[in-house]
Amino acid sequence: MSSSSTARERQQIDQEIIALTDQIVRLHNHGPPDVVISDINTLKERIRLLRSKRNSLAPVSSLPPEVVITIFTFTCSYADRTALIKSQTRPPAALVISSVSRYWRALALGCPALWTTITFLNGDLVYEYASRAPGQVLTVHTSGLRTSAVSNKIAGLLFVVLSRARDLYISGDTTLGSYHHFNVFPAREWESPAPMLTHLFLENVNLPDNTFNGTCPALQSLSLLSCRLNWQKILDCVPVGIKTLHIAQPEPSGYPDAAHLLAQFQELEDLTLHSVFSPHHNQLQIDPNTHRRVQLPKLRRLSLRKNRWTATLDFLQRITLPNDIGVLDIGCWFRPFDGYVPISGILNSSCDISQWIVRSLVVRRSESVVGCVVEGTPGLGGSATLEQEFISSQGLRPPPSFDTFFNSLAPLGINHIESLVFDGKFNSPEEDPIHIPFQFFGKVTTLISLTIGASYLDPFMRFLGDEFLRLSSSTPQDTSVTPPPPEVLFSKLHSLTIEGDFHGTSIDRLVAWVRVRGQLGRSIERLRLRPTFPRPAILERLREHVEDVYLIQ
Amino acid sequence: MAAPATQQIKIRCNDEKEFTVDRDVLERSVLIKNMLEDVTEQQDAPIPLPNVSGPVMAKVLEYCTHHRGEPLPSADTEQSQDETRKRTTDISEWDQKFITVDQEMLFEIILAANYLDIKSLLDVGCKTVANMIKGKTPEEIRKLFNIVNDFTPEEEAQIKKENEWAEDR
Repeated sequence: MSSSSTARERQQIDQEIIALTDQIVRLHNHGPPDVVISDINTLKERIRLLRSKRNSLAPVSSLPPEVVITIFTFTCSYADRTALIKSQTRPPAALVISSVSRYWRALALGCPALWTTITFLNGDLVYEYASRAPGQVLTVHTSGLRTSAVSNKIAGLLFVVLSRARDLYISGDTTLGSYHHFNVFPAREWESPAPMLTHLFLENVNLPDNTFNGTCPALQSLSLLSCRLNWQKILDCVPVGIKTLHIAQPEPSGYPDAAHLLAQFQELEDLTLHSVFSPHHNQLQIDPNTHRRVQLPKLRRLSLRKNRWTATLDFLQRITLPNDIGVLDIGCWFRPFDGYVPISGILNSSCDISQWIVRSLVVRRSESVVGCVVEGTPGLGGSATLEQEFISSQGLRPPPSFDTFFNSLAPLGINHIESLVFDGKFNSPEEDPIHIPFQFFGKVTTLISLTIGASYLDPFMRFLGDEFLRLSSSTPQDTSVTPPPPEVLFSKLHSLTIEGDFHGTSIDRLVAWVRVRGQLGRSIERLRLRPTFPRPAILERLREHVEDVYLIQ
Repeated sequence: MAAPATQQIKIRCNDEKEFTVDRDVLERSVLIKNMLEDVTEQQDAPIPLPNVSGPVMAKVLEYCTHHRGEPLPSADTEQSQDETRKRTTDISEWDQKFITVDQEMLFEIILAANYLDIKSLLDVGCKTVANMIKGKTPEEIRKLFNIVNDFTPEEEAQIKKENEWAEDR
């Protein structure tokens, strides 16, 4: 049926609905009371049927049911936890969809997958969702909870969903403070089995001692942020096959030996211990009398931030990490500060870092930072927020200069970096006079993604030099032209992100570099720019040579 | 033996509009790919596509040409990626520009992608419609798609109750 004929048919239906509505008004005003109600109801039902018919003629109704369901699935999906948190301020998407029309409601109610994500606490609605998703595993996400108002609701929620929950995220109101713990887990709820539970994220929560006591054998990822817990009772009960363990800022309760604690988790791939060796709380300790090394053979990421440095080193002395760990992210407890992270300390530690493979290296600087944080760098960590004034007043040893820092990278034998980020936030090189040895990273033949922050735009362009300007004006057949050296070419680079304000020479150099790379069969596939002042002309010039050029706001 | 990548194939749409297209471009469509694999001898007659009009096919071919050479999802990878695929409604910049069309054309493209079995194009279309729906109230969605409230009083009462529950977080 053509679109014009369906439009005509819709118009006729609209006119018919108007006529029927007029009849209802007339009946209201003039009809005898005993027949009015049944007549009005008959007319209303006719109007409703006409409306359904009208809906069936709408272009959206031309889509087959399975396509509409796919659309609904996308509408009710959440890319990550942040998206889930944002969604909590709006009515649940599945509920909205099922309130549009009869046809949409029938489709939505017939699709269990739409009802598997629960982001609210109302018991009736939780029950409704659970019953609309028979046999499906559930994702439950609630945050910003306050003890007095919702503890009963949480208990009810757990009662309904625990046996089917695969992902459970429960977070107390963090604005109340890190140590305001939320009593949401009546002990009896955790005695119920949770056979599907795979990911558990808890924040600002009191954990009863019997948590995990044999009730969640499938658990693979456990995050406990600012929770009050008994290490011995809790972690001794966590399934040994767990792959991800994130613990940050737990409430005091000592455990005699952290390495021993972790020895049972031989499948661990991702371990985060933030503020667990703090000088004030003494949550985890390293037994000075034990020297048995603990193997964590499958570990691919270790993050040890905001811990006492001496404890961090002691901990590293007790564990043996695999050579291809990939990401080692080490910071330290910075106030009161007991010395800048000594790179040599790591070098002298038990870990054989010379063979480590680094997949991602991030160098961050901001105005308040004296040192730097390096993520994913074996053995290199830094104090992130130590102010110069504080260093002087405390008579502390200042962190090394950036030059010293980079010079220390070479002997580490970094042989594999896929992603490199220089996250400089300064507006001009004068404000941030740091020399980055780009030639060093140009030699890393595995580099495929590079991000240059605003501070380093000009130095990077100067590093590229005028060589490319000359090369780009030559023809591809010109054999007299010598190809640029590999450290300037970044031969495997596929993705480049550049921030800051471009001016004439910078952009000429960038365009020439991109063009020459293309001529040499090493095209940049993705170029992302975050210019201070977006200029369409720059984009147009770059689009001649790069397929995907993005502007980042 | 596989045909050379440069082989040209003719197709005919339901409005008699014909296109001659490189085989590898057309093979983005699983439907056409299977048809071509079933034909052992080279045929000059155009492949009839009775469910797609010329203007819509032109858009579909624009998409297939841009994405030519990209790996097609196999049944196995499709299944394993299914969950993550559905989680994000992000669309690449080129695809976003491509799919910026009026609503009628958008639905036509989705129908064509569904018929021709071009999974990635179907996803782009469905994600676009999902992004149009996200964050809107039921009334705004009705207005967007030119549909009206046709619920019975009983259904209205149930929906009202559910929305009250949702407000009681």
